[in-house]
Amino acid sequence: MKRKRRKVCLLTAAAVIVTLVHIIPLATIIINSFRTNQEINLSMLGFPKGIDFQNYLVAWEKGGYASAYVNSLIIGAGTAFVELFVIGFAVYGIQKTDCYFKKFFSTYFVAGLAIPAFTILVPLFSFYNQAELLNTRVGIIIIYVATNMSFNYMFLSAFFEGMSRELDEAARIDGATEMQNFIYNTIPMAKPIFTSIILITFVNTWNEFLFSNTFLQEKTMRTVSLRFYNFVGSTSVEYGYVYAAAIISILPVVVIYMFTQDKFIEGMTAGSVKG
Amino acid sequence: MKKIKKTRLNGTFFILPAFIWHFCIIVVPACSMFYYSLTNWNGLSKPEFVGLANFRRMIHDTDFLFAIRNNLIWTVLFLFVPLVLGLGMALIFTKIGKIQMPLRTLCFLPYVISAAVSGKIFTVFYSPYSGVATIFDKLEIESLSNFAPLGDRAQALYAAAFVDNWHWWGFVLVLMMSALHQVSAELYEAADMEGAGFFQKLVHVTIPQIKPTIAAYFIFVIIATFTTFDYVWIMTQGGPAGATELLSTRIYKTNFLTYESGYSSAMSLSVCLFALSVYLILNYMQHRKGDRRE
Amino acid sequence: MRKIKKIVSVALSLSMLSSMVLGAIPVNAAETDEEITITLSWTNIPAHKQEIWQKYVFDPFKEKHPNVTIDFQCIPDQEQTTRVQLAAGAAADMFSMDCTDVFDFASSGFIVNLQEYREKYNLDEEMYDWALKACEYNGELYALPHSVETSDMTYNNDLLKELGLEVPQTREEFEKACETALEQDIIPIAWGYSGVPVLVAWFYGHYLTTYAGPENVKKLLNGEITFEDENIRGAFETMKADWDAGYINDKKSGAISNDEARSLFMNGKALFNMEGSWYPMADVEVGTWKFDWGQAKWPSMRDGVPAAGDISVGECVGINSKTEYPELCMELLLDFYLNRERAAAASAEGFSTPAAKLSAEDYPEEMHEDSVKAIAFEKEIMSADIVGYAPWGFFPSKMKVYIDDNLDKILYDQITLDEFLKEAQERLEQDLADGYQFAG
Repeated sequence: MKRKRRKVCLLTAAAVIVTLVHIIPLATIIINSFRTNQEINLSMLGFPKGIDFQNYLVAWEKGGYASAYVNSLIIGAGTAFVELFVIGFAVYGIQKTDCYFKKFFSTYFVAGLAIPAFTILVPLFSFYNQAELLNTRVGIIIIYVATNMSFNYMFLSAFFEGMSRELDEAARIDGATEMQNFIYNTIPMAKPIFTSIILITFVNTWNEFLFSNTFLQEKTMRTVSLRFYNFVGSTSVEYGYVYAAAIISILPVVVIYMFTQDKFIEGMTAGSVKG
Repeated sequence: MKKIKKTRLNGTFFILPAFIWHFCIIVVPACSMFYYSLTNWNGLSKPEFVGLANFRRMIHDTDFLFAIRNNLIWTVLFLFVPLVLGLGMALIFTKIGKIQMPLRTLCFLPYVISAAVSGKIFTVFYSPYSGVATIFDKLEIESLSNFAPLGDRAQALYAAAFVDNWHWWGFVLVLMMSALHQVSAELYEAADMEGAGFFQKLVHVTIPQIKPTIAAYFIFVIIATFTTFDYVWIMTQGGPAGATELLSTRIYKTNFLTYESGYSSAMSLSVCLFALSVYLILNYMQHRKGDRRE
Repeated sequence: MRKIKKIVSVALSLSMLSSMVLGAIPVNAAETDEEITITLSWTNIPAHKQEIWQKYVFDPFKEKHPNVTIDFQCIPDQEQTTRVQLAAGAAADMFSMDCTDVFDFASSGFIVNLQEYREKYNLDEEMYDWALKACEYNGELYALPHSVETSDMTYNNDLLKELGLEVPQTREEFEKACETALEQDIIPIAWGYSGVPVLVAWFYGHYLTTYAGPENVKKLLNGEITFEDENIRGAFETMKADWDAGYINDKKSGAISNDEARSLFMNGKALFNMEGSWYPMADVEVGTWKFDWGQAKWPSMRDGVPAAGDISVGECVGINSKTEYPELCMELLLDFYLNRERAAAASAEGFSTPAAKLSAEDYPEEMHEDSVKAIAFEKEIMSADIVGYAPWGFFPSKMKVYIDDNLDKILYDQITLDEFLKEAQERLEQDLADGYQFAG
């Protein structure tokens, strides 16, 4: 018993140390966000003279974050949920049903990873220009759903591979349709990975730069990931605002993360895994 | 027969939306690579057909060849380092109870920070005048007081990879936790009854059960690292003196700095086809192994 | 009674009808009452500079044309995005460009020929001729120069005095200053280019101007001499030698960003700096430097070649050939550039120096003394007898990109100088074959 407790203690200590070291850069960003530009120009790293939210106020206003938040939230949530549906169905189809061309589809989605983003930039831009989809949120959501598919496919697929088949077989014997099986059996079992997919897709679109910079020119449409560049010049950087902007940018995602983690993944540690 | 056909078709319908969507948005535009790689297009005016000249140039391009070497190093780094960290921490978390919750969140947080911000903050950390080097200086560790990796050709690539890893392994952690969750408790109980120790359980129960996830991770890293771009671009733009040049930075520079879009398409196409071949070979090998075992 | 009523009603309706009809006819083709939006795409400039645009350029224009709104888009990676947009036919009405782009855009027909405006508004009188020439294609104006800048040596006078030195203007003085600084553990020249490799242009620009000399640079770009010429070669050799001697951040420039180099200079840890007029005026909050500073021509690197600063057009503005409102676009810009008081006031607040020939009287009375100083230095360098050609303003694109991309390979001993010069020469010849003409 004592041995086990000591083991747990050691492991906890190790985990805490790793975590603390891991978040040092993040802590630095937060600390620096409370220093003025002048202070940072004089000394790139250091402690603030006092807690002053000036940088945040300026960054918020000058960065135009109010509208950026709305845009990024709509685009992020839109992409995440649509993505989940579209790729969730696809993985279900490939992994759990006897579909046509299973191997082909499976290979196809993974192969999509090999295509780099900027090869499709110019042709898509031309097409979007003609289809009048530039500067629209729907347009960019369409792109993001597609670009995230391969990434999500791989990990969703791996999870599905590890899922037990018993319930599916039982359901089919009972005469359920595939859709019913998906809704009643698969979704509950796959909750952890589905939540992860929503979160990861949301984060990826939140921070995405290349496509949003090229396709969303109008000020009212620009997202959070682009606003940060208001403070990054070609020859100089207003670091105080940059760091404050960085914190402003990640806050919503952190909140969403904490919310989803609490709700669904708590179940993970409730005793099911004894390792 | 008809019923089976119907179910097969039904199953296929699940896949079609994703397939068509992906095909139209990604594959169709990407096909333009085929066309432009045979031209000397500069991104603006009418392209001129030049046949395979771009490809011939590519084979002799030392910058491109050096980039291949850098990409290989990057791939190897990312196959192992984040996996060990992510899986290791995930396993530790399973044993330490409730305290893991805040720790988990903290470990994941860096994933949420955009590359531009992390790149900037680490450039400051790496600075010889205001970064970690000054701490080493104060501690009087002579050998490290000149620590300036971004200006050192031998260290720059690893320095940039470190930042990407810092960002990435939080995600691997979440992934591994999802996978570990799937391993049924009964298997561990059975192993305990047989008197298995920690490492035995790890090797014989845990890893086999999460194999699909690990395999997916490996394949993902191998293919995705062909196109890795952000961190190197933000921190060094391929410098110093080409030490951190990656395939993607080379392609980007050729496309947007020298405006040789034809040549850059040729490189893109080659990288893409090569990544595809690697994947197909791995896939084939995996299936062979699976078939043989059965 | 009825008849009168009838007449009145007919008269009223006729007058209403006629006023409607007359109101609908546009008075002037370019001046309708419809809402017009003009897009202006610019590089990513900091918020305070955007406010200056708003105050001095857009607001006065809005007063003049209330129905016209300017959509000012400041985007990162603007140069690349503009190209993508132009290729798709979806670019802004006006956009900022580099002089090196003029050739590509004009030859592909993407920008409007501005020669008629040049004559109409008498730009040759109002703006510097070399600035206008830099924006030409086939002898005709295709872009409006937006700003001019000089690249020089910025120094910390307090430190210089402490070390017992004078501002160096010859090679000997320069070496002495650098060596003395090194002995005292002070960085001679602060310069960082991590993450922004094009900043190497400051470095080699200075050496080409003050070792090879502007005349030789001109001959090089005209194709009369090659990179193998001993003066050109010598410039690069000297650059490498100074780097090896540790004059420039002790060879650590690749590890630090420009901001950090500036921070070092600001903290009095460095003696000199390679930047130019944009530094004290536009990029730094005026009055930040607490020490006695100055700017001077870059010292001569070889006997017989005078000290000189480099000049260049900073940015120029192109008008999209597909725009519906070229007249309004030109008006927006020229109303600002040619209004000397306005341009000078903006410049004093931190806007880039316009290409218009401003004189001291144009500037506002209450300017910060640092601004006055910076503007005076800029004038001094621009009106000197010998003036260098800054690479980003005058060099052809293929050659410049090659040099920018590969210069640090020389510094890190990755390629030999011979190879480098050979490749640079090849690129130059490609540019010349493409039709590049030196605008100096």
